[in-house]
Amino acid sequence: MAKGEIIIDENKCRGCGYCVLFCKQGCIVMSEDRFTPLGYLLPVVSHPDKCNACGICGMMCPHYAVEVYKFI
Amino acid sequence: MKNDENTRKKELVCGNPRIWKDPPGAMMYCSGCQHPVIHRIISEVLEEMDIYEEAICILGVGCHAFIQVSWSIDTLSCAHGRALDSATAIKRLNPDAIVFTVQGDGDCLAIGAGAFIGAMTRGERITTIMYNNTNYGTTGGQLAPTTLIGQKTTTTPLGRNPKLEGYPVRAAELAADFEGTVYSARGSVNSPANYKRAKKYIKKAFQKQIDGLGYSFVEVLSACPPNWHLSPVDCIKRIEEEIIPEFPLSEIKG
Repeated sequence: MAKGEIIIDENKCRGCGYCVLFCKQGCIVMSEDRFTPLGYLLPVVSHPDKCNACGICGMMCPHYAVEVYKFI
Repeated sequence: MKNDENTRKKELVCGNPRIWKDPPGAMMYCSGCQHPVIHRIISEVLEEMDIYEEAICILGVGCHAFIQVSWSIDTLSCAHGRALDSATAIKRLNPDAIVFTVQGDGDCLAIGAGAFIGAMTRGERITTIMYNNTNYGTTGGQLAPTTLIGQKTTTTPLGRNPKLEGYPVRAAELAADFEGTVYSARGSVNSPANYKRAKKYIKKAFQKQIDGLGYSFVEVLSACPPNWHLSPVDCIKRIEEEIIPEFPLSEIKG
């Protein structure tokens, strides 16, 4: 069962891919056909079960688009 | 299982800092710019040390100054390069305030070099956080004092030649030479481990100011994808492979 939940705000995301680069669990991938309203490629949470709620994707996101929650 | 996850209790691990209003501030930055990551570090440090109510941030001119519209702490945006002069006045009139300047490499080392050296000579009890992206990001990527040798910019299209344009300035080492400086360090945000280290450095710099010891300085390396003409992921590689060997990460003094 997933330990955490990642929420990506499409309106803030600028598609830099840092969340994909720094996620050690491989939860997030860059989609090939989905775009943000600003026209950037959107990262999607492809493996939510692997998330361990470390918060690194949110920490390294330059545009404050990622929120990470931990289940208690 | 999905319903189960919706009903489980959860707590926020990573979200917007408390002192960050939720407005288009972070949206003003280019894709992959790491300046907002450094803003996040400063916000987290101010929150963790519980000093955000008495903190006054003095901003120079540059990409870093877009934070002004997003922070709910007191800020002052002043003339180009004169952030440390304004900070000196504010600190002397409000000795209890936590005064820190947020400056870029052009603001601090080019036009503001006189103010920077003056503040260090006098040993003012203020903190400077300098963002180093090795060019003038706001105006389109011209040569900055920190541009690496061989780096192509709009004013050095053949690469920086030391015979014509000189050598890059290592600000943290320069600051460490002054007796008025009690703390000088260089950090980076190119990996989660370096993020934690940079946060530790900035925390120590604020602590030195609270203890009233003297001037503290932290330089943080940042990526600038549009002006380096690289993708954000390649910028992280460039910081690791080219910039960190030239600007080593460490606590130089303190």
